[in-house]
Amino acid sequence: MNYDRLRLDLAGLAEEVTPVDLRDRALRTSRRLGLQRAIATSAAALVMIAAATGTALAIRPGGQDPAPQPAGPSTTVSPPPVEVTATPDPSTSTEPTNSPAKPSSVLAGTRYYLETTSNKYRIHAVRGSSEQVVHQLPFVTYGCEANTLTISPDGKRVAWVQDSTDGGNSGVLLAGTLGKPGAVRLLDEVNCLGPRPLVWQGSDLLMVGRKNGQSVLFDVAANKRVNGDPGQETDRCWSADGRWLAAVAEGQPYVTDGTQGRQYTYTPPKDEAAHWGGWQARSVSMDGRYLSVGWIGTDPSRRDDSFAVVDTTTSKVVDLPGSGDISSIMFTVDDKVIVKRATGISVLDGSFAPLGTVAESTSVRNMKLLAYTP
Amino acid sequence: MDPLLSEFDSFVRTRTPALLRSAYLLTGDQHLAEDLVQSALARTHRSWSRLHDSGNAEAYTRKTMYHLQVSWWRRRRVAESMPGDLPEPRGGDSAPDHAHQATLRLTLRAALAKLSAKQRAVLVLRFFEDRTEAEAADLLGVSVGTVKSQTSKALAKLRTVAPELAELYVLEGSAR
Repeated sequence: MNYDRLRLDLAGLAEEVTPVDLRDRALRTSRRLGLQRAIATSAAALVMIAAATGTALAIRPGGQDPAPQPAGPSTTVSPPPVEVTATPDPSTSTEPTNSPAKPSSVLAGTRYYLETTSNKYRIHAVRGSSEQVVHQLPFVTYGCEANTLTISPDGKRVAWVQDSTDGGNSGVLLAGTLGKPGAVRLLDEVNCLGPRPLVWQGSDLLMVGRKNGQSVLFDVAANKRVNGDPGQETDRCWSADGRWLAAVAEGQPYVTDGTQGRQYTYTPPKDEAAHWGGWQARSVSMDGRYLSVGWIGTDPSRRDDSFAVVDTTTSKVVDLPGSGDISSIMFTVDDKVIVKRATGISVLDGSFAPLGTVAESTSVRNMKLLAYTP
Repeated sequence: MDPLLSEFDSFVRTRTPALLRSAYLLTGDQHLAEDLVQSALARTHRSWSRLHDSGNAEAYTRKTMYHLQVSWWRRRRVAESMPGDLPEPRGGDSAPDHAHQATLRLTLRAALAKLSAKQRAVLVLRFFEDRTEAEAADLLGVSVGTVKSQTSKALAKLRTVAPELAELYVLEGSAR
């Protein structure tokens, strides 16, 4: 090929773009990405609190954000010096707190919430009127942790990406046991951008994207990659048991359990859609028939919310009982539907009939609902 | 004004036009190009305190931009938004008049849209930014071999999806 001609034509094509001043937009995006992160974090150590035992393990001490360790055999992340103290963080609530939420038979299991403070991430476990902080990570300024911290559908594992030095684009995938100190280094150069960078398939497998764009399915329990072609589909989301997958391939959304599947369509509200970068499935029912959908932001920030349910057999939106803006919709492993609103939680059965409501304490009302275990 | 912010402002206003040109080739769309540069600049801003006196701010921003573009979420959006239909080839007169040039550009833009995000990235890096294979590999975080293979695949696909371009670009090559 005549590369000089190609160069000329590319240069000509590039001149079509209209120069604009992006200064203010860049600063707004920077502010938005850093909104939930402390500008100056005094706690530079990556601390994991075992609330039950009241122990804290600092695994990333020092005031800087060190580069991740070189790739190698998986090891427990404990670069020296390791600070171990038997004294829990005084700001961490390790005892059940008084909560206005009443024990409810319609939702007797444990709800896990993610709290963001100016310098910490805390995972709260709420069961009946009992509320505990069961896991905690302090902010790493401009780190990947904010965009990736997640827990498995069974509430046993916690995983996140520890920032590298490339400014919050990628880092090291770490995983541990919820409520226990320590973390295992699983994979390097893991992307931490996007609305859902880490996606669970069941409670052992975690789908992540590498910095080079490659998808990797990682077996957290066995600490090894799952061999085989991970596929080219995007926007993956699995039912809580990992059986049903909702994804998009070549622009077409579909659901499948590996033996059967169907395509569906969904057209989001036009006016609102204009403000977003698209939509994706956020939760899938145990039979693969229904899924909740949420918006994709126009920047690569995390999003956990959802606003509607789509019946994949008819491609129609399900009319949910209740009123008020919905912040998230979650299909549980025991075939319930948790609809979270500012006013509280509506619990529906598998056919969307109301089972009851659950009041949320003011302390968790504005947090992200990460998981529910019966 | 904060001196650091002032420096960042100056950097943004100086470099944004060049960044937008590359982003436009990567995305094929004005708004997506703006989003891409905006996101990369935001990350540069977050790291500005360590970048401002290193002289590497633009390299960092470009690297971030390419990584963002190749990442799955961006690729999906681009795939949905880039025009995929090639304009009808213009026959007969081969004089490089304005209309012909415009048609060729449309053809090239549509052909680029048919490439994968990584293939577009290597073409832009190699033939627009004039980067060496080693520089392109470093920016994309891949091996030189990957750059070579992606470049080869990208050029082959261009020939396939836009034969009229292949005819135009045929003759001699001069890759570095």
